[in-house]
Amino acid sequence: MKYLLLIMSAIVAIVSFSSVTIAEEKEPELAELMAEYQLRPHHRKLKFECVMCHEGDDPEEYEPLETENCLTCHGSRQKVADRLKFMDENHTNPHNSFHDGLDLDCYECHAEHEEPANLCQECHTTDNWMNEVP
Amino acid sequence: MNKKVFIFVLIVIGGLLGMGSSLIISEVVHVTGNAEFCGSCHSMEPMAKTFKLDTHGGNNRHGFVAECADCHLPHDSVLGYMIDKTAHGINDVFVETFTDVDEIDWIARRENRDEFVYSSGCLSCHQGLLDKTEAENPKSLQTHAHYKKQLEKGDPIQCVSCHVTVGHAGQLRTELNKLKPEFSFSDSTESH
Repeated sequence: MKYLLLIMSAIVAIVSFSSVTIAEEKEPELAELMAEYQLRPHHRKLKFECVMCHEGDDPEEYEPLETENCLTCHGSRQKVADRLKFMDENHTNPHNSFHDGLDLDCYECHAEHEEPANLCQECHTTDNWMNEVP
Repeated sequence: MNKKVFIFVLIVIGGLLGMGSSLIISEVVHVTGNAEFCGSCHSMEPMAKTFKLDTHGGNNRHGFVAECADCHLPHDSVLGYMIDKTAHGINDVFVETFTDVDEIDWIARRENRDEFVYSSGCLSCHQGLLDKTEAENPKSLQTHAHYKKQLEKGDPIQCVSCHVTVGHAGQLRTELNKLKPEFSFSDSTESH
């Protein structure tokens, strides 16, 4: 009986120690991930953690976002386009463009964890009708 | 008149004067906080115009209309509200009267929206919002939980940090561009 109690205590101690170690390891791992996968300034300001955009518990399994994921916060393609309505007159609204209308996907220009790219600039000089892509 | 009667009369007169002045101040506070009043100043015309397009400005099926001061003044306490309203009032009258308001870069100042839209104002109307367990857009439950968490951590974000176009139907930038265009829209030549 004494040995049984000793073995059980040892198992409990090992399990507890492992849990603490895993918990301690998880925090630095998250911090490292957040340092590696930094957010753009407008989202960093909101102090978002990974799970605000990505689903699941395992960062290794996080998938890149689709436009529809972005729109769960940003509303709709039309709403995003309407914010730049003043650009419609000259057909320079990137969210409602001459070429793509409302059908352009966010990630064609916007990127959360790397520098964004301006798709329009592949053909046009945009200095006088567009800011930097946020 | 003996001393007791004198004190009584003094209290009654003081009370009436205090109550009267409070009512007058309350009336002044009430009539100087809405879009009609604020929008009567030249520099606030784009703000008042776009406010009327927004849900908060009456563009809703209930006919509800908020006031500018509901969002643009703090609602933590009556004293704080009155101090801020007085300070804003003095500042706005001075700036509108003695400076060239056309020089103000309102488009750029939108970036500082956190400083002049108060979450205490939002939450004084949307009182149960942060404790909701069901929502038309489930994402809002997650983002509002994030707001609460940040508040509890002592590292708050503001409602308007996310709701960047609230109150002006997402049209303020467009309206301001009519007065002072951000871009010349010239020289859009193809580079190749």
